[in-house]
Amino acid sequence: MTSHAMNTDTFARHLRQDGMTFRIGPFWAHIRSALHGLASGLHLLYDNNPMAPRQPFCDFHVTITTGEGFHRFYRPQARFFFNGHMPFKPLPLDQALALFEWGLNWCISSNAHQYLILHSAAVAKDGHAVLLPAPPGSGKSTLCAALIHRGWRLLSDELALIDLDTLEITPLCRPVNLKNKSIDIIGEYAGNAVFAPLAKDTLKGTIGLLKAPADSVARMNEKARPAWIVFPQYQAGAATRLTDRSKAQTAMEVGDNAFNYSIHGVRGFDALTRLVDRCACYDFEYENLDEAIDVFSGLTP
Amino acid sequence: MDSATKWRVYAPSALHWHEWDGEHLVYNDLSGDTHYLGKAAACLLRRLQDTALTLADLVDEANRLAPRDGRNWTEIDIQDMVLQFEGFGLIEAAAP
Repeated sequence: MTSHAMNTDTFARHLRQDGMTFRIGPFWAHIRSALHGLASGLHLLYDNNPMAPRQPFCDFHVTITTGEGFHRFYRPQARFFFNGHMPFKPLPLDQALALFEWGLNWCISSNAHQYLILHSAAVAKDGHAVLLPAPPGSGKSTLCAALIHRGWRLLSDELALIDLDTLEITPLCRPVNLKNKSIDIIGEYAGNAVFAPLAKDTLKGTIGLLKAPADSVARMNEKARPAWIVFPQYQAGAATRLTDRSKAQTAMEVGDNAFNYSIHGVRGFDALTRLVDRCACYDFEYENLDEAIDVFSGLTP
Repeated sequence: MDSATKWRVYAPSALHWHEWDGEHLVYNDLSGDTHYLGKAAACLLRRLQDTALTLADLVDEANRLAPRDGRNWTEIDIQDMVLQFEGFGLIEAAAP
């Protein structure tokens, strides 16, 4: 079932009592929390994902609670627990949803070593995927959000899960994490964009979690073959420009952007070099999103 | 650097290579590090994978395998490269 089948209060009650189990890409995540704000955010963002009150096996067990002692009342906090351990410092209570998203990223990137995990957005069309690896501030998520509202399928905004043998990308359909000015830009650009309530004054500024398109979530079991690696760079006033980049340097940067490349040893090197062999590699400067979409529409595998 | 010193790859079977258009990556399975090498550096490291060579030998090999326009490779150029290889744990001085 999905949480479409229940209203927010019922969902919040399940989340508070026994927790809810969400299907998120290839994973089952069990989440338990009494925070109503978190419950309403999850209900909004994940209502297309399969979920169940109980599931025999879960990959990740997450609990989010309020702060302890006087932090229950004064400057209230949210605390993230994974398997009973708290890997991060608490954050302000109104950042609980962002804390959940960041925490789940950490759970996946620290544990799902059956994949080569790249810090990269990934979108697909007709089964062919574009990887968008880039550091924060490059405009990766903004471009990803624009693409998925113009016909591309969301595979992932943050973590690209690469099969070490086939190199296929397993979708991890989760909300797109937009920051600061990008929130308004995509709000205007997409028209039908659905955001959770904004988290303000985080370490990264204001965070807007953009709901994944229903079609992308529905196709989360449909893998895609990587065909392009594009390093985006948003630049105010820049002309839209796609330029070839060195494959060797691309491999180095993709490796640097991987969470677990070193864990895989020679197998990771082999997968990385085959991935870059297979893909056309580009740098991409942009400001205008319509022009950016046109460039991506012209990519042919 | 002692000119008589011969250098060789520390663990030849630990190095794994991939090349695109004269640019090379080498993965060192002992350190877990991946290195980006230009043509000359890659040629010399591959030679040191096969055999131990002195600095003078390496200069000759660089000028033979990866000649530069207008200027030959010198001992200073190659010495820098050798020190970097050594610093990365890729090569070692061979026993005399």
